[in-house]
Amino acid sequence: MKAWWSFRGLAVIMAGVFLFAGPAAVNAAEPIKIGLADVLGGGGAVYALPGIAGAEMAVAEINLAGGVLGRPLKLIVRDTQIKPDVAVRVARELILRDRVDFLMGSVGSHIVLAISQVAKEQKKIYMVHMGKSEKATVEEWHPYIFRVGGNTGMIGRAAAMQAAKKPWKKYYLIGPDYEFGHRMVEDFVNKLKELRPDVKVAGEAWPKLFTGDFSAYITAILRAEPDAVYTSLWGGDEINFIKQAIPYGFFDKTNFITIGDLDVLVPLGAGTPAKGLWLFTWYSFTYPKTEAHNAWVQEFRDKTGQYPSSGVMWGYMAVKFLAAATKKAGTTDNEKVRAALAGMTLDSVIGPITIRKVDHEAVWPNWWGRATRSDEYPFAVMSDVVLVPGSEVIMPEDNVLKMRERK
Amino acid sequence: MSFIVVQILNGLTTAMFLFLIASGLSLIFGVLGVLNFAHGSLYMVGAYFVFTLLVILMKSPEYFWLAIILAPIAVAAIGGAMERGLLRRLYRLEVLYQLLLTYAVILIASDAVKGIWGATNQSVPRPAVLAGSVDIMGHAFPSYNILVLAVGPLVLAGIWYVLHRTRWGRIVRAAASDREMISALGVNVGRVFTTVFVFGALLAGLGGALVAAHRAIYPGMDFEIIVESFIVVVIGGLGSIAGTFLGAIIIGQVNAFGILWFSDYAIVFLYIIMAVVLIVRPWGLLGKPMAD
Repeated sequence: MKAWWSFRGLAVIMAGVFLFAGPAAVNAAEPIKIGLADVLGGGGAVYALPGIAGAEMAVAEINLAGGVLGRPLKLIVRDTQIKPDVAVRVARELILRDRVDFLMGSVGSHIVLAISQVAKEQKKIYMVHMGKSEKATVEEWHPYIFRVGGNTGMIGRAAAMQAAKKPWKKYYLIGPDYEFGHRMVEDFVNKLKELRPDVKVAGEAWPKLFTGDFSAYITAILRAEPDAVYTSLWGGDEINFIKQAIPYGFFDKTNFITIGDLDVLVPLGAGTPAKGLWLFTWYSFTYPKTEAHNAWVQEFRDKTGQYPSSGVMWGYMAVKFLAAATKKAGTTDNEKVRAALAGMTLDSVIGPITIRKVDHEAVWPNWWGRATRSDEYPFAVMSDVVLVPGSEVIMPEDNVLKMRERK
Repeated sequence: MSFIVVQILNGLTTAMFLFLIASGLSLIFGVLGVLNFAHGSLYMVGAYFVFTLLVILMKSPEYFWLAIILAPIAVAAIGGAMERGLLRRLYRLEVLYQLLLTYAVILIASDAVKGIWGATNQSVPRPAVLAGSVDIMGHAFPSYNILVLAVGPLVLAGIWYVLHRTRWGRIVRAAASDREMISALGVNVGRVFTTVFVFGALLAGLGGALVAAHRAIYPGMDFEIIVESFIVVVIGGLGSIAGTFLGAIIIGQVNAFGILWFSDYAIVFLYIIMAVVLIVRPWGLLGKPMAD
């Protein structure tokens, strides 16, 4: 008796669900899901969060204009905790459980390499907008990995080209002891030695990522009396080094060549050294000062109250490329979208950007300048800016293929 | 030669920072028997208080001296609330519950800090009088470090004085030695524990307040410091303040000279020393073997 009644009740409920939800489900367009795996806390969040903000800005912009193929974009964000095992699990969950159409991410070149393996195994497009080691698109390339925002090779070589023009002969190298840290320094040194065979490396230091106290390193470096110090330190490490080095007279005694992103320049504020600081980066909102660029910067400022750091542009362009390629392919089928992405050129407020076919790397511009205190902003900016086009410094195609063969 | 002197001073500065933070941890464990994982959170909150006071409210680094007095007091109050409201209920249970509780506090505090102050790095400027450098045998050495080098031994002396020359100190040492006996003698053990926790939190807050103008502050700093503090306390001896001081000095110097001489392996030396100490004297250099 009881079972008979509950079966009836269940049937009524099911009918109701299908009657009401059915048409609703058919009318609402199924969103195109982009799974963004990145670190939401700790030291890496200073890049990851702006990346997410940039991606969200692009998603909002695209959805306002009607979405892609009549469907809205949707961003699903998950925390990698900047741990490879967690990142792998999260990437798999995004693909298998949340059924995302594309993957995006991730701070930490070691994390990018880990998730890349999952993308390869699951045949899912992984649009990297963060981790920059060249290894991901050269030695460890596979057809599903793509990258915007530049890489260690391009920026290292671009910085070397500028450093080579200076009278500096004796260099000291310091970087965090992991994939990105080493790669950035290697690529710089190799190009520098090619252009200036007279250059000598007086020493190198590899503190662990997220070191708090650099005093011992600062003293050791000053003892070697280098003309210039090149570093791949970023985020909190970079702030700590600069802050702690100033009272040792560091910036009077030598030149410091380092990443010039807002996450460091803004907190340092008026405390930025007035001289001896040279900056390179993968995006600066202060240059070029075109109308379109300024409008984009203002749009971000109106939305979030902040100035856009590099991560914002990378996240923004990553979504733009995914949307444009999906539109061109006419479907979210990853095989067709990746074919559309390879070789695609998109216009942007920093110029036209092309994704190469050989390594799926965006030919991205590279900024270099001297750090100067500014009246316009409460933090230091780049002056005497040199913009090196990606085409001049991206690894030549035959080198890419040669390095892949060697594997 | 002069350069070696500077490097020794660098090592001592690191040591003093470590000591300030780890001393509270050692004290709380020595008396309450509680491994306060949330010590790092208290330290972090101390740093953020200074940031709020100097950068957000006063917008001037010249209130520094006020900040390093107010911040530790505020953190001490939070510590007291934490002990009375949360920890006290678990003393009768196994140690594991206390560890779980303090770990839960870390997670909550971490997210709270991120929610209130944001996830990005923040920097606190130094007051003008401490922003420059002094000349040490021809080398520039930061004035701020001189302050830290002075505060460390002062705090050590202060703790020693309180523990050995005041009535409260005598009661605390007795409670550490034999909790039941002192309760039988009529002392309110609960109140003693709260005051010790408050004192430990004060020290954590002071450590955090001094670190604020030395390094970038951000929501992950609680985790980082707790590992370092534990190593200091383990090497020096759980419950021994002098041991914590010694442990901090050893680590500070190993760090400074490891970087100089063996830069590739500098990180490993710390853990090698800890392993050696644990094998040879598992209760730490100045600790006492656990009574059976």
